Amino acid sequence: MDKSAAVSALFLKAQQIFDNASRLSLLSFPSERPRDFALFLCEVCKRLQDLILQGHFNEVDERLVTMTTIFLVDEVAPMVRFIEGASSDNTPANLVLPLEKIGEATIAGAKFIVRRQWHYNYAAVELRSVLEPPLLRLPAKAEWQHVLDKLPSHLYAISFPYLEKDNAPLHVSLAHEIGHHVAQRYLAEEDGTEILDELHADIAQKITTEDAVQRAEEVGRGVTRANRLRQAALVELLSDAVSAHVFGPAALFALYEISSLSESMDKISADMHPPWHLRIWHMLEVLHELDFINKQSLTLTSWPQGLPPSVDQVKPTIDEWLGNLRVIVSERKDLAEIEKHVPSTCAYASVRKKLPDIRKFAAANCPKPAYEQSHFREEVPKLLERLYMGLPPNQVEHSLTKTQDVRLASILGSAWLYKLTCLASVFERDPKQYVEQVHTLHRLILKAIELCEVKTQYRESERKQREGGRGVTE
Amino acid sequence: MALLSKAHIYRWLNKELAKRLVITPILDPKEQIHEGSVDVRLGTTFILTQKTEFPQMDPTEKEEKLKKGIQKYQFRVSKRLHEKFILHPQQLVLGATLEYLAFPPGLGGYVLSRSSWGRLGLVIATATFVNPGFKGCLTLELLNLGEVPLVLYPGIRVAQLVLHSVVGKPGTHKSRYRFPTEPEFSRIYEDNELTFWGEQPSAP
Repeated sequence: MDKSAAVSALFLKAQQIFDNASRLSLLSFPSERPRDFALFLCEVCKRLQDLILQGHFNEVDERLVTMTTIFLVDEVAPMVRFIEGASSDNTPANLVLPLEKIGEATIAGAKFIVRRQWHYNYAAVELRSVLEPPLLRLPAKAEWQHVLDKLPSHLYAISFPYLEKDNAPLHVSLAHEIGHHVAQRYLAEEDGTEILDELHADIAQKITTEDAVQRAEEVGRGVTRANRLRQAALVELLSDAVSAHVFGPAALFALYEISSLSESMDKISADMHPPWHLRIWHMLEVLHELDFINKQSLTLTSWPQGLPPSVDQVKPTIDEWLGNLRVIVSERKDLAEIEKHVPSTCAYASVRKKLPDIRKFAAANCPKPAYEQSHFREEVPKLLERLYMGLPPNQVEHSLTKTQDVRLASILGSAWLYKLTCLASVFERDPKQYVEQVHTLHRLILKAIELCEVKTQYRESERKQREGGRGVTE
Repeated sequence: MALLSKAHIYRWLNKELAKRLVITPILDPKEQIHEGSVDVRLGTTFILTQKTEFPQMDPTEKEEKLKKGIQKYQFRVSKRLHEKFILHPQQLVLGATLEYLAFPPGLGGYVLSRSSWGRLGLVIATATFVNPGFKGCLTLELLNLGEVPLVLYPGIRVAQLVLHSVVGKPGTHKSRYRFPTEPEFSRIYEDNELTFWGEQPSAP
C-alpha cells in the first residue's frame, strides 16, 4: 500500500470509531464515566484526523501510519464495546455508583467503568496504560499529552459476566477486581531480584538432573514459571482479601459460587490462577482474622438473640453451609496438586511465607472505614427480616422518623444469607419458583441500593442547605 | 372503608414491621404526609412505547403472541437523579413510585395526581386502586393532557396516596405483579377469559 492510501485508511478508521463512540455516547448510563470515555475516544479520533489534514503525517515513516491504524483497529475500536456494555440497560445500574465509590476510595485518582461482557468472567483492565504509549509516539506529542490529561490517572473497565446481570449478590466479586490494583501495587513494592534469587536457590536445590547444561536450562525455565505462578497467586489471594475487607462473608459466598463452575477445585488453572481450594481456605483465614467466621468451628462468630423465627433459623443454616467447607480446610487436596512439580512447589512455598504480609497490605489499602463484624451483626439480621417480608433491605426503621442507614456490604450480605437459606429449600421444591425468587431478590437488592443512594444525596442536599449553600436538589 | 387522617397515617407508619404500612423512604415526612394522604415521588425507570413494529393491541390474542407484541411495543428507559425526562403532550408513559410500599391487609388506597401537577395537565394514574396487602412500587400511568411538554425529574412528588382502612376481616391479596420495583409491562394476557370474548376462529 502506498503511503497516501495508508493515511486515507487511517483517516477512515478514525472516522468509523468516532461515529460509533459518538452514537453510543447518547445512551443512558448509570454514571458519567462511560459517556466521558466515549467523548474522549471521539476527541482522539478527531485530533488524529486534524493532524492528518494539517499534513503532520506527510513526513512520518509509513510504518508509523500502519502501526497507528493497527492500534486503532486492535486496541481503540474494541474499547468502544466498553461504552455499550456500560449502559443502564446492560448493567445492574443501581449498583454501579456504589461500586465506583468503593473503587475510587481504594485507588486515589482512579475512575471506573462497570460493564457487561459476554465471556463468563469477572475482569479488570486499565485503559490509560493501553492508550497512552501509542498516542505519545504520534506527531504533536504535546497536544496528545493535553488530550490524555483529560483521562483520570487510572481508568479501569471492570467487567461482569452478562449472564449474571440479574444476580446482584454475585457482583460482590467486582471488589476482587478492584483488589487487583492493590495487588499490583504490592508486587511493585517487592524486591524482585531478591525474590528471583530465593526462587532460584530453592529450585536449584530441588532439580537433580546430572547434565549441567540441561540442569541449568531446567532451573532457568523453572524460575520463570515459578515467578509467574507466585505473582498470579499473590494477586488473586490479595484481591480476595480486599474483597473480604469490603464485603465481609459475602465475599466468601460469591467466591464459592464462582468456584463451583470450575472443572477442578484443586488444580492450578491453565492461566496460572491458584487452586480454588487454596483461595477458599485463605478467604476463611481472612474472615477469621476479621472475626466474621470462626475457622475452627466453621460458624458465624455471633448472631443476635431475640430475632423473629424466620431470621433466627438463618445462623444454623449458614453454619451448616460453612461446615461443608470442612473438607476444604482439612483435606487440602490442592497441596498435593501444587507439590507435583518443582516450580509450583517453590512458588507456593514463597506465597505461603507472604500470606500474613498480603493480609496486612489488604487491610491497610482497602477503603475506610472497613466493613466490620459489628456492622454485620447489627445490620444484617434486621435487613434479612425485611427480605423475608418482601421489602427491600434499604434501612433499619425503628420508627418513621428514626431510621438507620445501612452499608452496601450489609445489603449484599443479607442477600447472600437469604439466598443460601430460603432459596436453597425453594429449589428443592420447585426450580421455577427458585428462578422467580432469585429475580425478586435481585430486584429488592437493587431497589435497596437505589434508595440508599437517593437518601444519601437528599440528606447531603439538606445539610448543604442548612449550612447556607445550594443543595443538590435545587 | 374509612379515610385515614394524618394522625392515623402516622400510627400505621409506626407500627411494628410486620403490621406496618411501609412507605420507604419518606425523605421528608413533614412535606409528604398530609391529612388523608401521603405524597409519593417519581422513580427512575420508565416504559415508553414504540409503534413502528406493532400494528395493534388486541388483548384477546393468544398469550404468547400478545406477550411478544407488548415486548416489541414497549421498552424501558432509566434516568439518573437530576436527569430530565420530557413528557410530550398526549404521550403515555409508564413510570413508578420511587418509594417501595407495603400495605398491611387492613389498609387499601388510591393513588391520585397531585392537584398542582394536574393543573399543568399531568395525569399520573388511571388504574388507581391499591389492594390491601400490596407490596412493591406502584406503576404510574403518566399522561400529559396539557399543550406543552412537561419536564419531569426522578424524585419529584407527582402523586398522592389516599389511604383507607378496610372494614371487616381482610382477606389475602394475591397480585399478578410480584414485588415490582420498576414500572411493569401490562400482563393483560393473564386474563384467561379474554380469548372467549375475542373473535372466534371460523368453522372449518
